Amino acid sequence: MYSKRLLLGSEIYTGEHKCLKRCYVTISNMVELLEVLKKERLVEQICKEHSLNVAMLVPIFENWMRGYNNNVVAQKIGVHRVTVQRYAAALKELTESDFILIKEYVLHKILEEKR
Amino acid sequence: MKTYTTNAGKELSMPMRAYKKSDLEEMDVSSVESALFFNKFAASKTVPIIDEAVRKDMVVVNYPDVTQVTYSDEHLRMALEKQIGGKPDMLIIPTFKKETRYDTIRRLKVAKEIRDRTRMDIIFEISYNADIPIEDLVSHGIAYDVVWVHFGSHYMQPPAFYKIANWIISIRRLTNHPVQTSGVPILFKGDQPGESVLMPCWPLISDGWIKCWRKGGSQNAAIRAIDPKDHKNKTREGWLKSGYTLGTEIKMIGRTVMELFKDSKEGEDARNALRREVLNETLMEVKQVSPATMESYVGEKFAKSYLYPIIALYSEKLVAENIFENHELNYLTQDDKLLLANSLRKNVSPAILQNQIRNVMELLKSQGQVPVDALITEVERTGAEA
Repeated sequence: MYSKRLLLGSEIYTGEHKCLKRCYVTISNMVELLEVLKKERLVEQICKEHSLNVAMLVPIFENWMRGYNNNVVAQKIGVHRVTVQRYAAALKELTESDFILIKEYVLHKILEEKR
Repeated sequence: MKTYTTNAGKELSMPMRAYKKSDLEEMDVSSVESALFFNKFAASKTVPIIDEAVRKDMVVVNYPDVTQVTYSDEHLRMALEKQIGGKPDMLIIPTFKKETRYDTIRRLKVAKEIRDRTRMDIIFEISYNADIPIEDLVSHGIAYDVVWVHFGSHYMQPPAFYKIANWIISIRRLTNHPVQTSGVPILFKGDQPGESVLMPCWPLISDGWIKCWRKGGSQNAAIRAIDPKDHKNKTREGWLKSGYTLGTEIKMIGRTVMELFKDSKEGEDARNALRREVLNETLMEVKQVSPATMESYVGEKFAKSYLYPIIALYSEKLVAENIFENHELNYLTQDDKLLLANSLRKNVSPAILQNQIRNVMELLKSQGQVPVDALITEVERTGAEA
């Protein structure tokens, strides 16, 4: 499921049904797009290892980076506090390189949302 | 993110999700931001008091359950008085037991009277099984702000789903009001006999949903739990056939399959926790679905029997959001908007539809207020290219 990649029109999508980049694919930006795809695949693998869902990870990590505690994050996204605790605990257990990778991925997603 | 602002200025994230007091207690939080707080109490009881934290962060709906009461003007008056006493943010004109067309028209007239006197947001609830022509709802469209299609069962089968789908699409096309579903399940009958699947498709097809909290299944029925891999509700044998062993640990909840199927309070808690985790993760995935990825997502995760209505309703939602609720197109008359919407409706694929809408918006950006025939030509050109 995670390895599927779909090129649709002018946008690139992954097997996890998320848009990676909303722009026209040209040779000059192809390298950047492939880099993003590679990073996303790595993030998916890390999530799979820790039994985390990428779709859930993004809002939890985003609010966590803003400095909210687990209770406030649960209130903001409308999920159980234990779920937030599980994700927070899993994030703390990650190696530094994995953590940086996930952080970059989430920041990329936030910027993409704003675009 | 799309929001609905009540007349009192409170914001509700769309598609709306509802939480009950027991949900908040179970989640261990005092409120959920910009969500609906839903409280339905027995008609014979007094109005429960709502916490201040809930009132501050959430849109409150607090009304008596009259689904088992036959309609009378007196019962409706009582239901409305009780609601107003509870200071709700939105007032519901609730559906009654086996309503006739006359009863529905009476309710619509009462809604209109309230509309003329107050600034409250009015929700008009109808049963999915209501035997009334859609024209009645359309002609009284001024009387309400939101329509709730009520189902009221813990399990969904295709015939009932098609009826609900029909109501949603008809109301959205003919009234342009937000349509939400109330008392709807998350478990659907699957493609194979005896198969049930967790399928929270409501945020994709409607403007919000309220879960049916009633528990299903008889006491003697086999214990079932939702498999996080394929979202099917399976017995222990089903889990073992899917490749699990009794000792396999389900990381999501930190329990083994053996513990999950224990016929005890502990086992039930584990099954509830698993269902909650899978549901929340699926809802988060559904939230991130885009028009271009929608078909592949539902094709992979949902039962095939429901695909066509789900895709059709999603496309209709896109048309409503981008044509009828789009301020940039306010220079067009309602008839012109209908022409444009109908040209878009020729295409059922949300991905192609999104491309057509994007091209129309780019044309507007580059050339200003272009006539509707130029927009339709653009839609047809993009559709033909696809």
